[in-house]
Amino acid sequence: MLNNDQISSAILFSVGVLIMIFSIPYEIGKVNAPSTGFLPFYTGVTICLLSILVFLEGSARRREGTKWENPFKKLRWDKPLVVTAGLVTFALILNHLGFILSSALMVGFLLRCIQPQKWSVVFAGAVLTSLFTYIVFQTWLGAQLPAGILSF
Amino acid sequence: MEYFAHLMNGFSVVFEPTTLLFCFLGVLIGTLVGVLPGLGPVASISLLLPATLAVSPVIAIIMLAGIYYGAMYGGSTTSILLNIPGEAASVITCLDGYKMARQGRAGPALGISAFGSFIAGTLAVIGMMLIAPPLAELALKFGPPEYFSLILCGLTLVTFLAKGGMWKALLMAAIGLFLGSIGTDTLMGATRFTLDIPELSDGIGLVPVIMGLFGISEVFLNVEQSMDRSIFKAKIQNILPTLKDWADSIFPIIRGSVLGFFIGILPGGGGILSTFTSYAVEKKISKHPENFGEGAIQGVAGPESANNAASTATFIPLLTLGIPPNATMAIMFGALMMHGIQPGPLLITEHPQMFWGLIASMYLGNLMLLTLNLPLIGLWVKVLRVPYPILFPLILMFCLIGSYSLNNSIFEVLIMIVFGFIGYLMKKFNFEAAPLVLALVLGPRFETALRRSLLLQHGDLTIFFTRPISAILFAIAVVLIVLPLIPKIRKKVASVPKEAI
Repeated sequence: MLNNDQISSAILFSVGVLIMIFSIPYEIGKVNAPSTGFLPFYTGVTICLLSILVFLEGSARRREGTKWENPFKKLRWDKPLVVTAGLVTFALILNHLGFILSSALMVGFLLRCIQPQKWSVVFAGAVLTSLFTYIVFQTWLGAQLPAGILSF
Repeated sequence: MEYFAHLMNGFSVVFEPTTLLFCFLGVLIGTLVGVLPGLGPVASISLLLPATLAVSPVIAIIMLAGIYYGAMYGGSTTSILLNIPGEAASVITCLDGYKMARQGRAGPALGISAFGSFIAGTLAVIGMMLIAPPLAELALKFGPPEYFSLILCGLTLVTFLAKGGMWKALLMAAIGLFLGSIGTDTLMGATRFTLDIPELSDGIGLVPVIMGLFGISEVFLNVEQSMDRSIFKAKIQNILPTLKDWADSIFPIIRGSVLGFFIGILPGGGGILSTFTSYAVEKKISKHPENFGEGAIQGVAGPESANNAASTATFIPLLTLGIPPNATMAIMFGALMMHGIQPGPLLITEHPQMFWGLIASMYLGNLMLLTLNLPLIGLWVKVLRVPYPILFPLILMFCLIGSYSLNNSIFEVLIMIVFGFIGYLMKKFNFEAAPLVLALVLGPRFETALRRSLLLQHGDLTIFFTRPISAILFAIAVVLIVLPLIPKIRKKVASVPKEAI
């Protein structure tokens, strides 16, 4: 089994290759006349070279006994996924439901799902956070937050 | 005398009621975000960036700068009372500060930290006032090759100082350069890697990327582990340090200020490196190094002073060379650009009110922080008692609004979420975000300088080595890459059996 550095560098190597491939259509040009694709292409080359160096360094550490370590071990890695789901849902409903409703729903969801709070705390937290941020950003700082179905 | 006149002009800007109010708000918000673990100055400045568009550029920068150095003041409170650094730069304060608190000396620890920060901040402002104008004059001699070498040198220095390995940090810088190339090619006018998404034609927004990498990813890391924390409950008293405390601390404060100032000027230097260096120096020269880690006041005074001096000094490369030395200054760079001000050697002459106003605001801001921190410590402790499970939705809410309200774009919110997840994975695999952010900011300038240099000399690469300033900067970059390899090569040579040679 490869170790953490070897796996991450292999992924980044493929990122470098992709950057190189997708830079070619933009015309790389020559050293005396660099074109639009020049910097991205050579950045891709650099990423590949550096990934190889990280991989080699990882290989040397592996020989010294550094093995794959699960970075999510003993951690509730599902919680960041739940938070991400909450954030993405917020982004998708924001323009439709408006800021106040979407933010109240998101905060309520997070308060209840991550480290479950009492319903009274969830309700109060959702409403107060939503109103507080609305007053600060929309009313005080003049940000243009979406009105949505509540029309304000 | 000339400096004095400029400074008086600066004070006339700051003493306008609106400016004074925003300076106060900046240091207050800064202290608050410094106190609260999980919302650093980078995310906070990004968050408030859109809000500053309503005020003049001078006021905006004064407020944002206040957040930055205010956070450095506030960061020590959580380190001392909670053993959790409010800021990465306050990590080292946990060692002796928390021990002092457990020994019933939380008051003197908080007090010396505030006084040390005040003294260091003030000394650093004086240093900045003296160094910045001549440095800006020197930078006027820079052409595209010098800028290319300077940016290369800056990025290399950042990666040299990064934790987690130099190659990994360079890799992140290369990815940042690529991300910086997304959007419109400034020399040819063509668009690149935009995937036909109109929002990408101006490039990837700096604010959503930074809020994702620094704000959202931090929340992800916090929610996956136990969110319960113990708060120091004993009454905090005797905040004013005794004469003995002063005698023990005054030289560490002065040494920390000087060290922090010079480290702060270096790209990538900033708070973290200065605090660790100051702590190491204090321990090394102490007659009782065994007391360090057991509640030595010098272990609080030195690093806290270094941290504040460094945070002021980081403005120097930004304002004189147009090169942000860390992620917070990258945001400041973005803020100045948003207000139509190009950071660089001409800033001091073209916008003297901005430069001297900022300096004057720092004098005043440091004084405000001293008066804020000492009497309001009780309030900050109460803020700390807000449980994280209640606090984090608010932090997320701030990040969401910050990224949305910049361009009223859901797309930028999605970019922030994506970078939040990328930042989380990066931390899991020991990749640092700072080189990526710096390269993202400096990328377009790096590319323009490189391509212009090559066009000027018809592809002759020697232009980077034949012009003296460029050659020196280039040589520093090469040395910085080679330097960490020497011990490894020596080790390798030493491990080869003599018979094999």
